[in-house]
Amino acid sequence: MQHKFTSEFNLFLMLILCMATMSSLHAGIHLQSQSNLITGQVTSADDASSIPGVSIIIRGTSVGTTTDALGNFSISAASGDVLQFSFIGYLTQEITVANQTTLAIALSPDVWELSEVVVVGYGVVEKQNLIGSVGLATKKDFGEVPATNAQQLIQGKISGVQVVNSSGLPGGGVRIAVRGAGSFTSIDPLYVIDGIQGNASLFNSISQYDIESITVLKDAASTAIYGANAANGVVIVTTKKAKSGVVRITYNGYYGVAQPWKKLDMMNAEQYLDLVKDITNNALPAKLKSDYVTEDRTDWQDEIFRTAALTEHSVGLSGGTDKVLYQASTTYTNQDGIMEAYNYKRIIVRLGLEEKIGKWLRLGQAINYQYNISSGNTASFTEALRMPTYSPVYDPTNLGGFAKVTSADDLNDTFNPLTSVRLSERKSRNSLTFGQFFGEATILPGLKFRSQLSIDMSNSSSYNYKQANANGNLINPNSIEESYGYYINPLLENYFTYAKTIGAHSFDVLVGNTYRNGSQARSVNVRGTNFPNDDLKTVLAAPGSSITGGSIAQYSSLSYFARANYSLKNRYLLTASFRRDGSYVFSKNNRFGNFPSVGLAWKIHEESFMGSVPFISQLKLRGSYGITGNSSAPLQFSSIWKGQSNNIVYSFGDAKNYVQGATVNSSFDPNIKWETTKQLDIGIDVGLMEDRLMLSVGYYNRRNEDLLTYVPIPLSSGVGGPFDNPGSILKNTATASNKGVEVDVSFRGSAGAFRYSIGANMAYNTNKVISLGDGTEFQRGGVTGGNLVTKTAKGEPIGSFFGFVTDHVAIDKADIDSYNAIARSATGNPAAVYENGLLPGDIIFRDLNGDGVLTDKDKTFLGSPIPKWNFGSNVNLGYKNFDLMLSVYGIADVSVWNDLTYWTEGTTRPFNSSTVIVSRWKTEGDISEYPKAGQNATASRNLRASDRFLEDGSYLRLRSVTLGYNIPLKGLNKVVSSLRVYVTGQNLFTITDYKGYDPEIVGQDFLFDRGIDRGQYPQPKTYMLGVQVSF
Amino acid sequence: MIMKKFITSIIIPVLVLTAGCNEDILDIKSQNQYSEETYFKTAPQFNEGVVATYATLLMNGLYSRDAYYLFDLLANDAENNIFLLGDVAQLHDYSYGPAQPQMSDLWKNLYRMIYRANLVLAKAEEWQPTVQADMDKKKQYMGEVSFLRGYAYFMLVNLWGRVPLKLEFSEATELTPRAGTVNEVWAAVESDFTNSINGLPVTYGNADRGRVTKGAAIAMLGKAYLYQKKYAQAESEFMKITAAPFTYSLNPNFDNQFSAANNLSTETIFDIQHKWTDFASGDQYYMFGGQEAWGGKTTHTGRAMEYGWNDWNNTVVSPALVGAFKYQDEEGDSYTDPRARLTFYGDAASGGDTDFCHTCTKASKGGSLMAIYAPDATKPGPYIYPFAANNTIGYSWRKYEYYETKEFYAGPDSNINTQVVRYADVLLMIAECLIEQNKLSDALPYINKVRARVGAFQYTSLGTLENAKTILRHERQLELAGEQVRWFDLVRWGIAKQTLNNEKQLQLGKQPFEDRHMLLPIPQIEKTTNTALTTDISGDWN
Repeated sequence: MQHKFTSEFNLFLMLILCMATMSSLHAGIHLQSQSNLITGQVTSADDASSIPGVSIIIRGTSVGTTTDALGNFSISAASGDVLQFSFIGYLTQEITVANQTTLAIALSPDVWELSEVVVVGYGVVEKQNLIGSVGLATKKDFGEVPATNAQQLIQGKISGVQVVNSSGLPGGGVRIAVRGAGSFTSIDPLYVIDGIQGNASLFNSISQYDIESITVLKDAASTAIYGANAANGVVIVTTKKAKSGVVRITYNGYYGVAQPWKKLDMMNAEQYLDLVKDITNNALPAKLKSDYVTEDRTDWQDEIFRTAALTEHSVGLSGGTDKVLYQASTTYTNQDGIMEAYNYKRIIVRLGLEEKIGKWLRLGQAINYQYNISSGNTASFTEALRMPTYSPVYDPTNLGGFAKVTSADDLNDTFNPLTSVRLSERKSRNSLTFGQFFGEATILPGLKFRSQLSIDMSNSSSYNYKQANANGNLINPNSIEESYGYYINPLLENYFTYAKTIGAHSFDVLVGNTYRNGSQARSVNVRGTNFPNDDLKTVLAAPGSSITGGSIAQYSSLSYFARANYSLKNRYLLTASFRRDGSYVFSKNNRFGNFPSVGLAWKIHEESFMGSVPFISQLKLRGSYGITGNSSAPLQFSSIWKGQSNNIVYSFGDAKNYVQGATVNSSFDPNIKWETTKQLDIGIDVGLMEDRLMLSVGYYNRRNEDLLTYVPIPLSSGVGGPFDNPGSILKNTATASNKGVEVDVSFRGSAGAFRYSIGANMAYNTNKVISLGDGTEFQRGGVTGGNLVTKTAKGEPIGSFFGFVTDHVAIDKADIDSYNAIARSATGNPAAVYENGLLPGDIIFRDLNGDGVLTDKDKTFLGSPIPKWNFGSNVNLGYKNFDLMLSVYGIADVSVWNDLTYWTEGTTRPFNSSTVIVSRWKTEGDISEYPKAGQNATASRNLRASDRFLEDGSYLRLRSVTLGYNIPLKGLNKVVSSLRVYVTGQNLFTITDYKGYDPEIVGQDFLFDRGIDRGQYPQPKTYMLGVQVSF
Repeated sequence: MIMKKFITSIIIPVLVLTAGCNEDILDIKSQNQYSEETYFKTAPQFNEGVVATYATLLMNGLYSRDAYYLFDLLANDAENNIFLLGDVAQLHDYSYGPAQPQMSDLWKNLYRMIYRANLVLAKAEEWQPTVQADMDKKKQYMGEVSFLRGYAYFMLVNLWGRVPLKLEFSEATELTPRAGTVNEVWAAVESDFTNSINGLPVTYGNADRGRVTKGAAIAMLGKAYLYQKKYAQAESEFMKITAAPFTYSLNPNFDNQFSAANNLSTETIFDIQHKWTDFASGDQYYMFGGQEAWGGKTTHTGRAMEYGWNDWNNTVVSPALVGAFKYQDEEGDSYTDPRARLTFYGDAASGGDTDFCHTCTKASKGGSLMAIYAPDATKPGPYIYPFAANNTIGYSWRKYEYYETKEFYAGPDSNINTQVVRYADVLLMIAECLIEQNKLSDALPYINKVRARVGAFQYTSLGTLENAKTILRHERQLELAGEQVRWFDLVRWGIAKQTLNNEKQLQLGKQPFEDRHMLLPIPQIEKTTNTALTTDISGDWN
């Protein structure tokens, strides 16, 4: 090992030398002129890398040559000859020879190349031999997107893969759901980086400029090789690999601005005062009676939003010989958030090496290092929207210097949203080092052994210092919170592969294991307060401090896997895989799970009878069935509970000192085992017109069994912490299903200098809970006001929205009397009323069960946060040196719970509100969509969970548009081999009926609290100007 | 060469491959938490189990938040102010249903208390200490958790009637139906309090003040008898704590019984200990569900801030309660009880306190309100404030508030202990027992003793039996206003519907109290998770 690191370091030094002597290296490609000898270099148009082995033929002759390892060639040709340059994976190019002596040829990659290989679990497969349902997105599909998360790159690119940004802030999280929701514990897919299992944070630590392709494995035949934890699909990222040749240097950079794209219409001071009078029956404190409150001073949305600057620079360098390939790149990103006062900076460095030793051993090392700093707290929407507009931002007489409003003076105790943002200093630093090492030995022809090791290590620290301030009704002392954590996670995998073709039979076999041990994580959180001044921002300077949390975790797993692929006459394909996984989570008896799969495909177009239908270039039927697992559960044991931070305490003694308590707060089922997902896939792939038109249609049926469900146990058991409502036992009890259809279609071609390729995908999914087994239906997903708004019940999608259905706002007493009359006749009770406490101006909810009165039995399922439709489209157009890329993404048949309207339309008490409330019910006889102000005067519960807050969450978004221009450099510059400039616009428009800021909503857990918008930071509208240079 | 290649390429990989087969790596033990099997073996560990049982007193529905809302609003001691948000606002007009969160929380956390007590009792059976000090501790600990379990069932039986009875730790996760009769639950209550009396000391040392005492257990046993109308037994229990070895007496300063100074009061029989240190150790908002989770270490209550007129101002004093402080003396003259100005702020006509900040040193925390009413920030209090114009009802809480020492509290972190049973309450309960046994003249001195402390006129006679009952009930309303006692009183006296509908008719223009409201609804979550209990619930309520 020592030796390996040393040699690596030497190679790295060499790289740096290479960079320094770049120009002299270029001098090495010095070209000599001869009258009939043409020399030159062939490069790839997309990244300017040289292409070795390109076939060059004088058209109509057999005279030809190929490029050397550096992509150079020389050929004798006469004026008027046509040179054909062709290479697999690239479009053939023809050049008519005039009197040139040198040629620089840039071949355009053929995106839909038939023999394209696709990275799958533990290997690659030719695209035409795919049996499973596998989605692929490459650099050409991503375009130039300021992605701080690599996950964002596949949004809208692959059918059945929903990608949702959980925040519009740079560095914000992303949730991916493949084919609906098939677990009650986690629906996050497995991430694989260059063939080794990782996680979302490793995935996101890779610069988008280093990514070659992202593959999503969706069907069981593809995913079952990752058995455990593959139940939610597998996302595989493959990084760019160096090619042999002289050093190549590329630069990518952009500058951009991001803006919010929507503002909500909020009341002005006059409208607000009218609302306050309405709520309080005109009982106003002195301040609200003064003229001071009739003037608009602040647009709070303008104050918290801002135009943000984004920059990125990336430099890459690669090259090598037939023995050693090397690669180094670094990317620096600096993005402001569109919300006060957030900033994100990141640097990524990637070093890669690959060595060939003799003819049988290949070694590789890659180190990816990411360091990021996010700083600044973000302002809150709910605070900004509720602030009265008469309040200024600043008030020098108030502690901290920011204005406040209070219950006593203003009847409104909203916090000034800028106080906590501007009077704080927050920084979070995170470094992540991710190393991958492999050795691959060719033991016999076709028989290989590969051993691969990955280690990721992360260190994180953060502090948040807040200055003392008075805000709302509160006085907040200065304080600091700090946290420190690290984790280390090694993984070792070993496997044999053997491939052999005997006549019409070809097969390959894979056998291996995975060993994860020594993974651990530790963290600690501390808090301090009462600093004498704001000079020292460390808990060490705080007179009072405490440890507020922390954890230690260890985990391990052990797996064995095998796969066999068999192909007969290149027409009939069979794949079968098996994995046995062991996890520390389960007891010894249930520790191991077995996950088999089988897949079949028939390449009909290879049959002889298909020769008569030449327009069909590809026709393939495929099907697969398999079982995958999920173990994302905590370790189960009867633990002593002392509180999250040893804070089960009670006060005793004259000084009321906190005395530590301990108890048991959980019960557990020792017999829990793996969740299993059984999945059937059937698909057909069709290629027409020499595969210029490709169509792929697939059907799947995923059945998720033994889902680990927190089965609630009665409150009267007493089990559980105060935050469990109620306590629960984790059991394998529920069954869910996801069924759907996925369609991918693409069309590409060219007409003269015009090139086009259009791809579109669409997926339909229905999610349903089949059974809850021992578990009863349960409500989670709490929102403002304490309502539980999602319910998971048999026959409905997981985490469906549940509540009352609004009929209308009661117009007058006669309106209510008519409902009470119905209640009396339906119940036979002369004292019956439709609903207790119902008054004119309150919302009348529908009596769905027809018993004449409104009860909890009139609640119903209102909608689902899981979209039934997912769709996306990519359009790539090229004309001469221009290129245009459009990317569209959308979802439909989905609901969003607009919880922000609890504040903006709820008129719970005097808060600034949406202007729609101006037309609220005010007096007998008013017909309005909005109930009377001041809900709590009658406790009428107009704010109960109802479709009042539910909105159509469908949207169609122009995710990005890029217009690029390749500046012709012919004869201009010998150092720069290509130069492209581009402009990109992101999220330029979004078609949606959603009334909140942005319909792209995650919610807290993406399962039972999915699709609830509590004021999630919206995706910004972004404009960028970028340049790409290759040397 | 071939041999070497064979060795490196086959043998090593096969060795590596099989090396992974050691399944022991999957045996991982938690490094964060102890296991139940190895805990509760020593006195300090048992003490932790006892403390965790006490800690449930600070959970939601109970005394960090909700108990004051629940019982003050239900009994119309407090009325909603416009700031009161969401579900809590449903309490004052009885428009709540089985999903009412504060009621679910109360039910849930009383059963947490029972579960934790059962755990300690079960583990104590296995603990056989040999040292005398440990034996004494064991006796005390068992007495403490018996008291707390008894207290939990006392609350449950009064509020919900028949409830599931769980007296063994081993049956914790079983689905349990409700007890056959209310009397079975009362029997468990009496048994727990009786057992705890035997194990508990009369007093504790300085380090342990705040733990339940023998006196507290006797008072609660007396209450249990009183609530069941077993007046003679109740009287006998209550009388015990008026004599040696007990040394309870009324706090000469009524205000101090409801201020941060009440921790050492001789009037306190059982109270909930509240303390806030600072943000370093705790989170001010812990009472919104952060207990034992994100809330850090603290035991404070949100009451002062939530009821405080210059803070969150969520409730006001109900007009009915304000009116009760004005009554006729024995000569038939209009009389304003001196406790009016100790209980609430209001205009002069109401009898409430009309100024505040009697002992504020300066207008320390400022704000524009103070700019109007106390323009000179260096001037000490008191300050006159137009309380009647402060809200639509006009009366604000003074009891349990800080406004005589601070004009603006600015954080929901009150240190003022919550009174559960105090000596004045016991004296009035003795009077009640005597009145109910028609020993009116015996009862008189107990009522007068309580009145004398605040300087209220002394009754010379309680009149007829009915008069005596009325005086006693009125006295309890005034003395214990805002102490979450009146709801239990109204219900056990059987006058809740009549009294509250009369009061609400004047306040809200409706009579929302129905017969079913005498008991709280069985929480919806309990009904959906405990199928053993659902069949005998009538009308979706109880």
